[in-house]
Amino acid sequence: MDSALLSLLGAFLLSMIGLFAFIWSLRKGLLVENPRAASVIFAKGEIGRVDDPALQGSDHAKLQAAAHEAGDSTDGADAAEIADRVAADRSSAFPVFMFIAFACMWLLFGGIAGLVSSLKLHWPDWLVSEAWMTFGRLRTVHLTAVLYGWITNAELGIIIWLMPRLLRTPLVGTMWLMLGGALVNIAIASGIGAIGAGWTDGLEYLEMPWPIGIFFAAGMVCIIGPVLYTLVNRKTESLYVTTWYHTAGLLWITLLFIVGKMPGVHFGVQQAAMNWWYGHNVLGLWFTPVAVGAIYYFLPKIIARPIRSYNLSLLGFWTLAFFYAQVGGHHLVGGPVPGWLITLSIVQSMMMIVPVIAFSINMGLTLRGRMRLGLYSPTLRFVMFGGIMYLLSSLQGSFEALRSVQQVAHFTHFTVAHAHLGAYGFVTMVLFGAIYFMMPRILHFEWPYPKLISVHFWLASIGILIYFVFLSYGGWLQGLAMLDPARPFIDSVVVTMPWLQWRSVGGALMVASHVVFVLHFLAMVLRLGPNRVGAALFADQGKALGVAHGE
Amino acid sequence: MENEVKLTTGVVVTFAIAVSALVVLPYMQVRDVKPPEGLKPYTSAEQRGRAVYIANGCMYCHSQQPRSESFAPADAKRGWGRASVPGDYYYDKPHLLGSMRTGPDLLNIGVRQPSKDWQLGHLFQPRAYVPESIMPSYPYLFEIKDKADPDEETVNLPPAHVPPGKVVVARPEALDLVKYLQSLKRNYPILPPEPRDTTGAPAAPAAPDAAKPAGSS
Amino acid sequence: MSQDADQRAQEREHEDPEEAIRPMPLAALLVAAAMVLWAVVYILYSEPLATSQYGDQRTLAELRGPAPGATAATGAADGKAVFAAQCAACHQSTGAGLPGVFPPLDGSEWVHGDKRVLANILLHGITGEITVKGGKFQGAMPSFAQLSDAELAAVASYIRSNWSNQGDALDAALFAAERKASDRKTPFEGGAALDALLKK
Repeated sequence: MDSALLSLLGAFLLSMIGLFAFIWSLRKGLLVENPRAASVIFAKGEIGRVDDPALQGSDHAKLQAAAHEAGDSTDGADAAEIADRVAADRSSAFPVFMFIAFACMWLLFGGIAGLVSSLKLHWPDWLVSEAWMTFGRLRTVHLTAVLYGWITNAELGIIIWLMPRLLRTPLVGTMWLMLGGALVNIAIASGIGAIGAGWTDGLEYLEMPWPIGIFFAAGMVCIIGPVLYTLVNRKTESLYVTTWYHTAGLLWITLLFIVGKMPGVHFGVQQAAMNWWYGHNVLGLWFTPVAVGAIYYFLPKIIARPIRSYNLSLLGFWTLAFFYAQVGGHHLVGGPVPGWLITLSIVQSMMMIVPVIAFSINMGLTLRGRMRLGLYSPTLRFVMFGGIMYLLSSLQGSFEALRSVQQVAHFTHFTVAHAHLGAYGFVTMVLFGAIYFMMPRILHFEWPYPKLISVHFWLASIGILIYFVFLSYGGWLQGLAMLDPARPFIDSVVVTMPWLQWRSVGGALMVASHVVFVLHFLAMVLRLGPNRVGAALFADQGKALGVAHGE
Repeated sequence: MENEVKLTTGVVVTFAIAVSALVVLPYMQVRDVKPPEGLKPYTSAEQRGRAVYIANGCMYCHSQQPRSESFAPADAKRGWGRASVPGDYYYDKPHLLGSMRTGPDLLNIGVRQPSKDWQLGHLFQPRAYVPESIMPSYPYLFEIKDKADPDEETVNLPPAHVPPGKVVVARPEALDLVKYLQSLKRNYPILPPEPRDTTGAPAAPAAPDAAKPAGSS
Repeated sequence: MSQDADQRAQEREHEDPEEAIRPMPLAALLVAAAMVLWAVVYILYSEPLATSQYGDQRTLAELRGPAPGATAATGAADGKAVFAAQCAACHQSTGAGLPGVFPPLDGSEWVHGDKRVLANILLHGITGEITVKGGKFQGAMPSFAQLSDAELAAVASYIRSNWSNQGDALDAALFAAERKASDRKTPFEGGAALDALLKK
């Protein structure tokens, strides 16, 4: 037992006490049920009658029956609430549309770049004549386009759309948001151009050259300003859990990016440690909190129930904030960075089980008995899929951090498969669901072809499952071959071949789903197609409306 | 939660704790590491080659961090070298540790595959030498012409991979890249041979001031 | 259902979600407590951090240089492993080389010929024309002087006795002697220079 280990333990325990004391200070009836308070936070004047102008006679009765379970929020809303909602949506419509449109463009582009990169791994002499086509550049173009182009733009759109709704306050500073969006997208486009031309900072996830990074950081600052201003000048007293995650995510990504991109500061193995801390936390402190926040909004919204427990939300949020921020070092297990740093990251990776379980229990209990609504509601189906993948990918990630697992999985496609489960199976699917909900309210025009939503869902979900299952298996075989000194290295390449081909199949399905999605999006924007009335649902309207009404 | 100040403060504080632990502490610990005696700075040609390595994303398939013999014995057995230490990366800016081994580790490729002929031909067409390889070929680092100029380097390739009557000539980028690869040698010892003390960490001349493990500060 | 085309989607929504004030489920608390306990145990039982400044899982032994004079004593180098790491890329694991580029080792007169010549090829390399099994090669083999005498002897013995070759083993002492005997700083200038070595 050495003193360094004891210090590490002491620091860990001390921070745990601090963390739980902080959570305690925010509790409301943490352990004992108080029947009088067992209502909802937004109680005053916000409980409307079950009265919905969109419903008639028998549908109404069915809905009322469905809604009258203990603890359910009542359906529909009073005129004031609807007026607030319409005003909030109107204030944010323009910037949100801009972000979502950019996101869709980058999704299509980045997905194709990814598929070509995947094909190149088993057709190595395909498209090699020009430098920009080489695997090392094209995969980086894919990464930049989907992480910064697609996910970041889509998440910014969701944050900006939900903030005014949840705060019941029209958004201010729209021009700043538009400026910020322009800067962010200029940075992404020039970053991709630079990478294609061979100008890169050379750090994974931070390839965008730092002079271009300045535009990104400046854009993020322009976006944070109006969001925080709206937050401070809000009309509601209480902050809903989605707002916690979204405010935090915006602050985190900006700080993270600035720390990571700081030129001339990082060096040698310290730079490597920073690099992986950044790489992991783009997912952990930006993609994840925003997507989790979106689930916290759309899931209870559609099934018309309050979130099960405020206290559980509290535990989930603050433990995520604390633990997730300290992971990343486990990407360098067995590497030349200080050993204590890796041990710390492994511990915090495992501790991530706490927020993930808290979230899953909260959602599971909220959703209990209403899962079948996923049959009808596209948003709910995408969001539920994403939530389940969040649970799975996070649990996998926690155990993957352990040295005994990393010994095999490190340096292999297993890690790539895991990253895609998180960024696609979880985050991207939630973003799809959110966009299906948001667009009719932004454009005041319904999705013209509900069947395409179903096609999109099945292509994307089957695609990511093929991708994940086969590539994980191939990656594990690769790791075992690499670890066995009796086998030549080339064995670890040969053994992955069939699985790399399957990955391309999964990837092709995913890209096909993007084509369907983006075409549908374009049809909606350009108003090509029927001017439908009522929500786009997966089943015929009359039957579906009674159960999946909130879509 | 009703208080946005408490929310944002909490969010920034958790972030600050993480930055101190995962960015600032390693910075302080590694700041004073000296380059080992056996490590030479890169020459300008090697630096140019390193830039070619970065621009073409070699680090996405090749790591530069052999693991310890006690943890993953195969690394050393494959000739990838001893486990690396912070000092080995003294001149590396940016770091190229990498996180994938679609291809082998390259930290000691200069020791393992010093042949320039092999490196050039392998870059032009990896499958000429390693039939199962899935490394891309890099024809754009080469030129195919009728006759090499006197100051140009002709690449020695199996006949099937050169168009009849032509020669393959390496462009300067390819030559620089090979110089960089040949310079990748971390085969010097980090600690002096005679152990003074078998249990503690002696202050080695190679990496002397690497500080106490940071948990103790 | 309303047929009014101006119906806003906002009007058919449920009200915005809220959170019920319910106590935390016991399961979540138990998971949290169990994880903190696990972390304490994990940290207590993780490897000591005494060598932590060199990286993860480093042992002092592997970072130490060889003790003076230890090379000759530890003659247990694995010729096959050295061959796989250093030679197979060019000469191929079959020892057949690549026609026109890298000469074969299998059946090569230079491999099963004079031991001193083989030792000198490994120590200094060759740049220039050489004829192997009737084929002409115009390449550059680098020097492998950075390997220890024991490793060189092991790999030379391996290639002499593998495939169809049936030569006898080489001894580390030969490499030590040849290292001392020559002050050559550059590779041999082809087959002719190697032949000259024999005549000395």
